[in-house]
Amino acid sequence: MPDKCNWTALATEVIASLAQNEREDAIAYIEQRVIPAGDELPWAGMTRRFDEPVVIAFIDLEPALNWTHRAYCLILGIEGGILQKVAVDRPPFLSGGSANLRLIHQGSRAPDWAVVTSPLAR
Amino acid sequence: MKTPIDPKILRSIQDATFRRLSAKRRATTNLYVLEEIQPAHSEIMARHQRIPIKKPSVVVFVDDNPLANWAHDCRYLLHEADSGKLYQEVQAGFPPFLVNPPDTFKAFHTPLVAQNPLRKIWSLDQKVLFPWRIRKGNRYAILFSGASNNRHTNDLEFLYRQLVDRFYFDEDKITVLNYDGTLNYSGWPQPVTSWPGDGTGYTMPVHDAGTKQALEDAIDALKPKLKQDDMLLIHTNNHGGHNGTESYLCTYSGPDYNASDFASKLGELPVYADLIVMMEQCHSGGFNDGVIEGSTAARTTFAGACTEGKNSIGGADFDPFARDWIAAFAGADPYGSALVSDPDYDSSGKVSAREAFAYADDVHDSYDSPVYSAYGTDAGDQNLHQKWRYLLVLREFVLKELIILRERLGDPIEYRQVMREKLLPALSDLDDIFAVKPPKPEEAQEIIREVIRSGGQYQYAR
Repeated sequence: MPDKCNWTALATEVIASLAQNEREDAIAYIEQRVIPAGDELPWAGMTRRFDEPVVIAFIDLEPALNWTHRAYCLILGIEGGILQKVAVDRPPFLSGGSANLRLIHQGSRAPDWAVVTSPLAR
Repeated sequence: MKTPIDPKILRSIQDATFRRLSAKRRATTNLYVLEEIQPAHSEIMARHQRIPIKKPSVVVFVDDNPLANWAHDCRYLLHEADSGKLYQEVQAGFPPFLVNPPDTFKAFHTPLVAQNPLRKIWSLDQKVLFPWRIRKGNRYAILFSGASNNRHTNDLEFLYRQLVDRFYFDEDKITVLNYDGTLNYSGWPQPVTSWPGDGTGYTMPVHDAGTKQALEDAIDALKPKLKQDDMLLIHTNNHGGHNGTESYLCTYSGPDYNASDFASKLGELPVYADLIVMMEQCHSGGFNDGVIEGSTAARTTFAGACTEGKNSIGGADFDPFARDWIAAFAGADPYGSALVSDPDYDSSGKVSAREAFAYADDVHDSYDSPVYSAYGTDAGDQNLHQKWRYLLVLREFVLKELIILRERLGDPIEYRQVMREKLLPALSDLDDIFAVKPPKPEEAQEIIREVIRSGGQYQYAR
């Protein structure tokens, strides 16, 4: 399934959507797998389904702080295009992360120690 | 014909020889004794050196450099056989027997040996000492981190090490609840290897997962244990939130732990002396009022990293507020470096709960907003040290009776057991009773005699 997506392009789109201050402060991740149409999103608190296959990204806006704090998820179509933005206050990796979660952006003010997973291979 | 040595004199010679060594030398010197009286006008051959024995003697051989090949520095200590008194010390280079030593040449203190099973450490014959100080209350601790990251688990380890290594908490009175019930945590670094403070392995055992159920179980387990003089330290770490009504503590799985539920749970505990709560998680200040109001302890202090509406900041290896609060008690940061100031602000020699908070507050990260409160007489003076009670009444008479008891029991191990489990608590109670209502000396002596001779079974009614 992952080879049907251009993950680099999707990551670039997520990063491009960040506001200037978010770009400096935030850490962004993408779940490198496609959520099939009709399936519930796999992250806690994201009880949503979509009629088309989607991918999800997670933006940690205050990575130096303990949770809970400001963050949001982006739901994208597999060809690109942000379908929805959902504000959350805790990450999908609070009690252990997904093996498919990949780092796609670390802001210049975001500490290294706050990064929880390895980068997306491009 | 061998002449045996009086066992009491032999014991006194061995003790005296051992006492003459400094603490450092006790770790590097081997001691032997020739377990037969050396007759007058005999001699001992230290290879080619003649050591004349002028009167009946007990000879102790002191090897000052046990791991070196012969010849090397050693000594012969000659004692009067009938009194045990040391009368001559002879420097030599060889032992009395290089090969095939007789059975009477016996090692009694050999800290340095080539093979570990032969290692033997001499124990001094302890006389009956007056039990002037006994523990006042037990100290318990619960260390909790739910959805841990590495830094949270590290905070728990930092505190655990202080409790065990610096304050000598009984390890079985510390309950550690972390993440999935192991040393694991979410995120990097993986795999879990060493504590970043000094690079050594983690020492704390993790007893259960960081869940609400496990935390409540740990508190419930204290209900039958906590007594009037006891202290309880609760440290919570990891993440926290606010649901619009109240703060909550994040857990590894299952429900989060709301501040009001936590306060109610604390309220189920019996009356005890001291509760110290330190919370690191976000919105921890929201637990403050509930802890103070729910506590059944005579004295309670609460320290939190931030106010109810705010977050707490993290760090690479430790969360700053928890790190600094613990460091105040430790006297150094987790890496062993000196603190920026001495937290013992009143120079009492002990860091109190108030001083630990004050230090953490003084150096706090600008993002944190530390919260503190205390309830109860001198509550801020709480500390992590063991409290003691002192037996002062009629000490000479107590000591005399204890000597009689020890001789009657014969077995020093049984004596210590009776002392620890029965007599000291009974004498301690007597001390309290006599302090309030002093009896006549003869009457007090009779009561003490009854208590001691019964091995603590006799209960004196007020």
